Amino acid sequence: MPTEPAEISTSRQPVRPRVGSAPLPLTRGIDHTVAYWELLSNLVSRDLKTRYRGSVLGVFWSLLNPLLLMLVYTVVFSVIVRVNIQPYPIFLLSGLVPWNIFAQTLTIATTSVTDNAGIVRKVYFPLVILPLSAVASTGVHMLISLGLLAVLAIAFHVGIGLSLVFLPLLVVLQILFSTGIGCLLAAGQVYFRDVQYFLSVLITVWFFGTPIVYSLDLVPQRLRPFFEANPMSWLISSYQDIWFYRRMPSLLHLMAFTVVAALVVLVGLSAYDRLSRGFAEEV
Amino acid sequence: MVAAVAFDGVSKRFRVYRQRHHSLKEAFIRRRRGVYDEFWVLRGISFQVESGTTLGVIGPNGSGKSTMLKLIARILHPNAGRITVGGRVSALLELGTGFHPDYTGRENIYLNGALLGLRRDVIRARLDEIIDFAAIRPFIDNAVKTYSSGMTMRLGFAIAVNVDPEILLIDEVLAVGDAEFAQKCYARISQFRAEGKTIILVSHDLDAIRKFSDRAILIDQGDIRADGSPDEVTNRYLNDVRRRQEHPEELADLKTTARWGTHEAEITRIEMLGTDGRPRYAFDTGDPLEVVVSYRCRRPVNDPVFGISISRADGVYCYAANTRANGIRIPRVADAGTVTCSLPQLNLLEGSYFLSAAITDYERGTTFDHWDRRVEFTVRQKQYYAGGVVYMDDHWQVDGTTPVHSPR
Repeated sequence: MPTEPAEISTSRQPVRPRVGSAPLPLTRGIDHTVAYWELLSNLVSRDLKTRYRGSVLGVFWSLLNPLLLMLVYTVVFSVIVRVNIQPYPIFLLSGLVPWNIFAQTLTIATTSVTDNAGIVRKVYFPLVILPLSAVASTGVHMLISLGLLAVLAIAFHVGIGLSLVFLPLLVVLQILFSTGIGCLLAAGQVYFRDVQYFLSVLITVWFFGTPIVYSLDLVPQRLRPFFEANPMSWLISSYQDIWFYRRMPSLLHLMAFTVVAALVVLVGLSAYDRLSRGFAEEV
Repeated sequence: MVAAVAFDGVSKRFRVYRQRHHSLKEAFIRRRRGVYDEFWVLRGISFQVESGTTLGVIGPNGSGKSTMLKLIARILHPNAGRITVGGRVSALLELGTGFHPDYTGRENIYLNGALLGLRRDVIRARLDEIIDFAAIRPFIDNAVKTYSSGMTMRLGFAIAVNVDPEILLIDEVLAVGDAEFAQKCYARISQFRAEGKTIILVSHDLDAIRKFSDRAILIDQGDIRADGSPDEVTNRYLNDVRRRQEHPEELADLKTTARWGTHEAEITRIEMLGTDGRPRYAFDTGDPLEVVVSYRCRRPVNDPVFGISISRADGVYCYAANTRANGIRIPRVADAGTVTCSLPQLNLLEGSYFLSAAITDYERGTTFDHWDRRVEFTVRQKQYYAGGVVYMDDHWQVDGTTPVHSPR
């Protein structure tokens, strides 16, 4: 027998009755939260296990990838183009590592609902778990690559400063920001399959529009405002501050990004929640 | 009365895209996401299921039964109306959904259990029970992709019934699987009923509806057409189908139909005729009937084989016959004509069925035209009280005592 009596309205309203399903009682809600938390961790470990299945180097690819990129960009920008930043590899990696994670999160999150169409159509579960699992599984990669960055910082005699106390804050802000955008993209992808193609172009443009391979001082003065208006510039330059310059990140950047991240995650989650009601039909 | 599930004026609309704009460019140009037809799968239906009872739901294909279950399971959301569900729901909609093929059976139990909202410690406690119920212990640490479809399904069912639901939704899943497992499933459902769980059972198997339900509803074209005792409602359903035989054109555009082949020879019409030579789509077990397949070909075709097959609405493949198997060789057909298959006695038991027809090549087996599930028909049991799919003309003999004949 159900423990909670059902709420039933006996009056039959001919004109637009309330639409929707009644919420679950709270006790059951808590039980479900635990279970769905486990679902999230299940999906993350499934993702991590399957991503590198059949590859010889396995999870080392997530380290190798930024290292190889670092090598390429270092050759291009400190040997050929000669950007005057020393040591360039650490400057580059301090922005490239978080950027890669950001880009990877958006890419995986975008197809997270459409890739799981089978279960979305047939099983009830909180659909927000799908983009969240994308964020969480790339989050694991982020921890690995940040460890690599620390090792390299010491190897290149840049060292690790007290400024790193800001690292957890930056990571959290980045997670919030990418969760919000990831949710929007995932929901958009259900309705328009070309969101993922749009995203790959966007990521390339955004990458070069953000001071990662170059520093903001190198941008001509008259173009500076466009680069300054990019929220990812605020985040990435904060990462560069704490890793490379070993100083406190700019308070203005930090506060501005906090506001933007909070807005994006709120808008993203609530839009996702509304749009997800149609997923089972549309996906 | 405590209602476990209550629908109050619930409507659900689907869009069927004739042309889908999945790209942004097209959507911007045409100002909308596709050319679609809207239709209402459910039109303001209201009903309540008393807690601890079993509701049987019947109706023709496409009538909205599965949509109703998905609404209760909260996979779909209504466009109007209110749904109240008082209890933990487990839905047996498609068994094995969400299994990861590379994972072992054991890993999939945890993954699928989590998907259904089960906590890890709960799954661990029930692991043995699940494995034993599915009877796959020797294979539990093999990847699910190595499982047979029967094993996958058994595992899916075993997990779903172990969610310990207060409300169980079952959509036609029991029809598949071997007899022994089906028996186990039915036993489990009886146990659920005895424990006072609420069950909503959708099935084409009217026998199962009568056996398990306390109450039944008939849904047709999105409305509740009948609501009452399982006997009343199943009879009403059979009568409805019977009445429809007077309007066979309604059956002409079934959505389930599919067709393929080279079209060197084409089926133009498939008809079922009663003894009076008139089209008929509802029969009693034991009735004689004829199936007439009309064909047409642009150029003469050598050595064709004509065949028909019958499957039950839930997909059970019941019977197939063709001219070659009957020892008939047709040297050549030209223009148009008909082929008639006579069945002196329809040995199918109660249910709704589909008739398919095909023309193939004798030697190579090339399909000229295969028209799948072209005709829907129903069978009612008037004088045979057997269960299952087919009537076997059984005779009984009891030694040591004189049996007394007692007509039912």
